[in-house]
Amino acid sequence: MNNESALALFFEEAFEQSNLLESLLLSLDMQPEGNAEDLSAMFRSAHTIKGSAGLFALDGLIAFTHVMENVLDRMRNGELAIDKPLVGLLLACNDHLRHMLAHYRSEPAAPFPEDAEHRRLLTALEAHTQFAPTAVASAAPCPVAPENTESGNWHLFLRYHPDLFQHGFDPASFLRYLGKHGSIVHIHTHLEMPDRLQDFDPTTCRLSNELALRSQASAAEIAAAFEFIQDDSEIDILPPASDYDAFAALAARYGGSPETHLARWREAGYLPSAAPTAPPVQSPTPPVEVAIVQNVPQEKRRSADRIEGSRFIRIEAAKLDALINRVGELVISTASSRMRAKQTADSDMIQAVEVLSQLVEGIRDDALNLRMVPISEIFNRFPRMVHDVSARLGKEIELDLVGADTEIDKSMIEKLTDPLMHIVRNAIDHGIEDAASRLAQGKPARGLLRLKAYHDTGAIVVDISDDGRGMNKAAILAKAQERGLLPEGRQLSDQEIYKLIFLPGFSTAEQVSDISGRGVGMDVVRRNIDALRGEIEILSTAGQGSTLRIRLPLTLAIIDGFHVEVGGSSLVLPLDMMAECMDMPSQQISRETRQIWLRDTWIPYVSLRELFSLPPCDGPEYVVVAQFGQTTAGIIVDRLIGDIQAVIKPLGSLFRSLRGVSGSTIMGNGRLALILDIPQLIQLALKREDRLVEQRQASLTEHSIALANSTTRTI
Amino acid sequence: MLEADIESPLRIEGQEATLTLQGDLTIFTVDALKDDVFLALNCPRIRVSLDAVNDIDSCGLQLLLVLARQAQDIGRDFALSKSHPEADALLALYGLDLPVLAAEGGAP
Repeated sequence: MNNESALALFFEEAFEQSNLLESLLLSLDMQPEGNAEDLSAMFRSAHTIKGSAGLFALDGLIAFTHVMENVLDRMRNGELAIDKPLVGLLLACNDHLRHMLAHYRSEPAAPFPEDAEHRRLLTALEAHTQFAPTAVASAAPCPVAPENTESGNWHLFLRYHPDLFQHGFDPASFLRYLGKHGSIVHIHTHLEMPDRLQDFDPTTCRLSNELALRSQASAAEIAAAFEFIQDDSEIDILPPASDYDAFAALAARYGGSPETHLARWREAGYLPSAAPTAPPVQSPTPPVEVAIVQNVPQEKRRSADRIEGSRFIRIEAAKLDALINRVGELVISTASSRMRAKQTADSDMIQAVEVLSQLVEGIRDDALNLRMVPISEIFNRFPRMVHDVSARLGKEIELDLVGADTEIDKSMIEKLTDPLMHIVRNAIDHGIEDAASRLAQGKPARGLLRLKAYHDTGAIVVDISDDGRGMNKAAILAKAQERGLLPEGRQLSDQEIYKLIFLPGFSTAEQVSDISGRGVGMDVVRRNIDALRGEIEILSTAGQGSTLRIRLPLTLAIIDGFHVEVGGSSLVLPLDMMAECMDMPSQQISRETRQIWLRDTWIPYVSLRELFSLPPCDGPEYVVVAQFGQTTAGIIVDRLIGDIQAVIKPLGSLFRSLRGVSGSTIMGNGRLALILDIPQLIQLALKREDRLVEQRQASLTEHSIALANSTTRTI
Repeated sequence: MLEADIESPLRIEGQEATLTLQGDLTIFTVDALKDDVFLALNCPRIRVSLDAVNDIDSCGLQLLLVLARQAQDIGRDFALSKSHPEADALLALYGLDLPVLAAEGGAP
């Protein structure tokens, strides 16, 4: 791999890590207590970026992620109280990290211009790292053996919490208390200077201490001095005769360069005389804290490496597409071989080809699966967006993501993101009320927005639900009227009314906000979903919320189809939408209303001969019962042939507007077959049914008027 | 009394800024003192008098330390006009010191 492609890979990975970090931060924002696994994963993300940046000598990036990593490390070790400002800071840092990545991606050689924002973030981060190492000593059961006090001094590293003064403590009192247990033979006080004096809050504690204490006291007694501040501040206590490694481990966890700290400690005489390179001196009772310090992170890192090593291989998208194309051709030619084998009537041959075609089917599934990615790739962008948008609108919204592991074709991800973003933005802006009016209606102040993905009869369904005010039918109708969007003289169903919002130039928002309401977008949403061969359904209850349901085909490349014939032409129906096939009943059918009695219900049907304006069939006919979402309908065909794997070839632009047909495929015999679009066919059947009912009503009315007239005349 | 409280502790005469601190130099007073204390940085010479200070805590000391460090960083001449027993004790506890003018009365 050359350097350039390695660099490209690095950026892709780094952006991915950054996305991961963001999603974890956002979940932390919702549940500030966090969980250890997520906190570790956050640390690893920053750590991975830093490590990889090191390979390419992207110094600015290394420096920045190093500070982020330190803060995340402290969070992971439970040394930092996690609150909203901290999460907010890290989110901002993550954004900035992306800026940096974008900069280095375009100009890897140019140093990143460290603007005011950069400095601000670094300062804010450093405020959380200046007291970096783990608070290992705890006052209560102290793990350090008290016997080991004859030789040397205790070394204490005290990094006070910024709020120490405000909490009513004074470091001087701890130092005086220590004086009771022994004598402080050396003390170093560090003052962390504020970056800007204007911003300096003189009540925050910016002091830290490192000291050597000669004392016969036990570790518990020494640690007891810090009993009241040990939760917030970082208190590290190294017992006498701690070896060099203990100091080195501590220095490594301090912010900045460990060498600086070690040099300072060496100068102060803290460090044992053993040479740094010498094997660590085994102290008689190894201090437990040190063991914790050294082992835990290593163990974590090892398991993390293991997980990351086995997870993914990166493949160029074009290679994958080429593979899938080839598998498509393979499927077609296997179908052809299968047909020819059948014609030879050679049973061994037929069997061999059957095995082959089963294997090919398997390969087809595997190949298609390669393109499938969890929908979380889209979903993960929402927590941040909802967080930002709801903050801007002053609404409190809980985002619930369900079924994020549902898999979806990679090529759909890109096309689905924008429409979903738009719908969600709309739901937050128009759907969910502000806290006051929610409370007035007896709803919880916090609105709920749920994104739910699941598989349903060969389709992927994404529901976007909110528990807001629901859609206002009257307002939609009024607006449509005003804009002249209403079809003349027709009673619209609820569904049709809701769908008016997808018309170009439609918006009912009373106020145009910067978030939505400009009347562009929902029509674009519809167009995007149409392009994915998807359908949108709207469910809404006034006062209780709405759900937008997007139904998408599982894959865009190959489908399991069912081969039928109408008037000598081959047609393919997507198999996963088929419920059953049966003979065309001679009774239990209403040709007038085009309905068939199926077991215990009437279902509408559509006759393909009628649809394609072919003469009526003279032989027997068959009904294919198709199911699409909640709707069931029959499709009348001449012949049922059998199942087939259809590689979808898009129709030429000439036929793109054709309703009811979604594509074409080449069959084993080399002939072309049209793939029927069942949802559209069903829609067609339903619409025609509506029209028929209307017409009949109209003619009935006419008839009765005529009848009435004639009656009058007779009288 | 009231007047004394709101009176600025900062006096600027020519090249010299004098901060005359009084009463308590503690967490309760640092906020109010901060602006005046840092204004002193505009002068090449900064003198701080702690004579009238009764009580000083680490937070108050920190304010002096920040001032002293900043003064040093930007090349100002900073010194306490006279040593102050309580401040000295606190400085000693922390292993720190602040420059004190060779006092006319006693040794620093």
